[in-house]
Amino acid sequence: MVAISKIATGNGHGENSPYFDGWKAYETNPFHPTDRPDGVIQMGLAENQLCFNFVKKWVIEHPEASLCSAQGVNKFKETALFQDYHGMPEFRQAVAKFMGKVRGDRVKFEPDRVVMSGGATGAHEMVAFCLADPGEAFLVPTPYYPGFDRDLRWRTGVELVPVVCESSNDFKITRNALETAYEKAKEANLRVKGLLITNPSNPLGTILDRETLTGIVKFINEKNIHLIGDEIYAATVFTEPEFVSISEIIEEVECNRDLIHIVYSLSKDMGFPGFRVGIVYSYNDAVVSCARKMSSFGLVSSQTQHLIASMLSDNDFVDSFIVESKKQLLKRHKYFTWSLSQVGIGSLKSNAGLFIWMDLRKLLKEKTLEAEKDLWRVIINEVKLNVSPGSSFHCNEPGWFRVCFANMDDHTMEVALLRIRTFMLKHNEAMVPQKLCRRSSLKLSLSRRRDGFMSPSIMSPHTPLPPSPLVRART
Amino acid sequence: VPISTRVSGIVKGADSPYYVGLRRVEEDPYDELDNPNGVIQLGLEENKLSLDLVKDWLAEHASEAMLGNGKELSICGIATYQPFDGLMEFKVAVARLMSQVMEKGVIFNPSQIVLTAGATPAIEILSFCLADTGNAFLVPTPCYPGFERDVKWRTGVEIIHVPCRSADNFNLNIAALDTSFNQAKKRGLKVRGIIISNPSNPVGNLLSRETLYSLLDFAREKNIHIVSNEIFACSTHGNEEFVSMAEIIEPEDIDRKRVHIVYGLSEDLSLPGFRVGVIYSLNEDVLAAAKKLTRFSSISAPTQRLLTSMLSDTRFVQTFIATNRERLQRMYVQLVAGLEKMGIKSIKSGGGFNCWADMSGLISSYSEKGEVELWERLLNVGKVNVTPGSCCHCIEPGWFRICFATLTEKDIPVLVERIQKVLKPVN
Repeated sequence: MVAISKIATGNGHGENSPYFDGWKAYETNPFHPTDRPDGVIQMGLAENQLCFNFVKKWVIEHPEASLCSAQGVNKFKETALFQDYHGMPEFRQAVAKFMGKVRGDRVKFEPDRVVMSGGATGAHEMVAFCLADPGEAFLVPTPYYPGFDRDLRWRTGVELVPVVCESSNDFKITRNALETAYEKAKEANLRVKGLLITNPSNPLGTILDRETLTGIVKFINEKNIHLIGDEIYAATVFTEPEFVSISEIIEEVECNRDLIHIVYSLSKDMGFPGFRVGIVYSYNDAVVSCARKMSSFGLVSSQTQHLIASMLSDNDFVDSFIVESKKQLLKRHKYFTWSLSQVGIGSLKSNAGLFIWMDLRKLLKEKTLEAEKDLWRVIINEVKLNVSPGSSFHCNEPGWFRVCFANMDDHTMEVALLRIRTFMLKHNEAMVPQKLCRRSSLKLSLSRRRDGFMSPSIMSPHTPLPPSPLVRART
Repeated sequence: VPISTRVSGIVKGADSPYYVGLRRVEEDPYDELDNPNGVIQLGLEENKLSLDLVKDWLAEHASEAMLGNGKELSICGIATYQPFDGLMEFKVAVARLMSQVMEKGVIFNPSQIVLTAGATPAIEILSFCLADTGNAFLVPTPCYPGFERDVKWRTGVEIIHVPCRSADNFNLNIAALDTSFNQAKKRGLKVRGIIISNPSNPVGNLLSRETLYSLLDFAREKNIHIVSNEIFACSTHGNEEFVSMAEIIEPEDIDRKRVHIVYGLSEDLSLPGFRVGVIYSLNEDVLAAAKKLTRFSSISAPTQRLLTSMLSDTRFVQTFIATNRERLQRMYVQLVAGLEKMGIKSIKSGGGFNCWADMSGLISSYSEKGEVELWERLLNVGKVNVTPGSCCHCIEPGWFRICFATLTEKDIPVLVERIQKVLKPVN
């Protein structure tokens, strides 16, 4: 029969990895508060649903922003015909302004450097096509978003070389780690064309400090390689320390700007993944020109450009949205991490993102990938939560899990926490031999919990010393 | 530090007549009242003739359009992640549209549809799925200039042009395909498929049933794919019968796995800004791969919601199809008459927005150079932007593509006068 291509038949899409078992479990039995109360709760999707009511109010109050209203329909003709890959000027201006506001107006973005793409997914692929030829490589600090393996490599033929970061220093990106990765690539005969950093980090939820960013900019200038900054979670920084963007660092540090490119999107910061608004912002004119032509493969619907242009030019809305979003994220993050600490579960101290990097190392039977996979299967099949195992993010240490908290309402969050609580209670009981009396069993569990969550590197700043739930249950 | 070598070719293309002409119009666009001496756009394949029908529908049905089934606007319903290859309700609506457009009782199955952000990524995705880097597609010429980008740029796949001749009215010639296939083989180039456009672009030919069957025989013999770009299926005018590849392929036919149809709403529904493209295939492996690739080129959810509502109004769609065809026919006939008055003949077109005009007798030298010279004079002196045939890879010099669907009837005498000015010898 007629054959198809290697790309079509190969595994570049990455969906055969065990990582997707969790998704399949969710899809066959998704949680619903009334219809499927025993279903799997989705905590593997980094989606921001906390500000929808806020946005809905604006949309209802601004019918002219939609083509589907008496006030907006007069813009229909020009919008329907608009397919210029430059994008609507109002759209680019609004996006550039928004990007500036998200960075506290400490930097300005030029509308003429804003290039559209099919979501951040399309943006990353487009940048890879522009900067690297097949067989060349990007360095990527671990742990990193699993989608990079597919988006940066599948159709482009580009390789990824991990920059291994360790939990012992909170996964910091050190000069040493960068140099090691660079050397490793050289040994494998791979020409390194760039370094891709995600800041704020997915999956860690942390931001890079000024020192690290400066070190990174110096490194790429020395090696004369590109720096791609994925800043799609920039507006999700819900508490101190303040976010520092690459765009700010290059104003402070000597840098060849032709090496600097930012990937952005409205999927996370605004919670609009369905709108498919991806942005490539490059300081390199040739890349802007080339990416713009390539954007024909992923232009943003003009209807959406029109809506976004209206929404993001409304300064009052944008300012209050940014504040409201942070408030909601902080509230959810605080509650979630506190509740977890109540049952002895700690996580990496974080101040951004739509997820936490949960530490379940002490629950592993042994410090192996297999043990992590076993634990993960238990979480999916018994606890009925789809969380993402650290190995899928190429984390070099087993036992970490990314857990998303912003894609559900309060009720669902409570159900998830109850399931976690129940599981941990069962687990703690199981760890205690039967013949010990109640008091000693309490003591044992208390000390284990303390080791688990009170060490500085993983205690959330918002975790007070909680009373033991075990004590509560028995008194 | 260099950017990738694979894009260095892309950066160069900006000075082709196609782009130069577009820029000139942007700088100085003709308007009957505001800028009567501006450049008349005849180089953009867009249809402005029936846009008012869509706008009127929208004005009347605005509020329901965005709500879908619910009474209240649900941001959660459309802002969150959706299947990358399109909402099922939208696929159902698109399948129904295709059935209406292509007529003859062909039923398009929504499950065989993958939706993309425009026909541009649809073609690129098929290129990635059907061929490996270094393989090739046969493309009859003259052809749509955009294939260079869609088929080749990022895929590393080659295009082998198969010239059609004016003596055949630029109709597809199977013998020519065969020759090209064999020549490619000798050069060590593996041909993976043929890409046809039906109605053809830029000529506007409708491929006959016999041609399509012969094409299928050829593809079967060589064991290759057929990509049938049918994005002008609704923009037929005149009395010729349009036959889709979907009619040629039987559901149980083993050859169904080698045929893939590309469709979209940019041309037929005049909605290029909304970015709606379709891959229709009965090959499950191709569909599965294409589906995964749509993550890079997905349609905005609010746009899907709006168009689902619109396309579900089948009466509106019927009226639109009929009215649009009438208006295209009228404009086409007037343009052809205007050109004939100047002694310029064109190939009889059955569909699309173009008139494929023969000005070979009017170029100074029978070469691409002569053709481009005439194009420049038409643009700079006549202030009309047409597309020289060389941009469409036509091997016979002197043919020009004239897009008529952005004109109003009042523009025709103006552009005739302008062209006449250029063709008159200087005293």
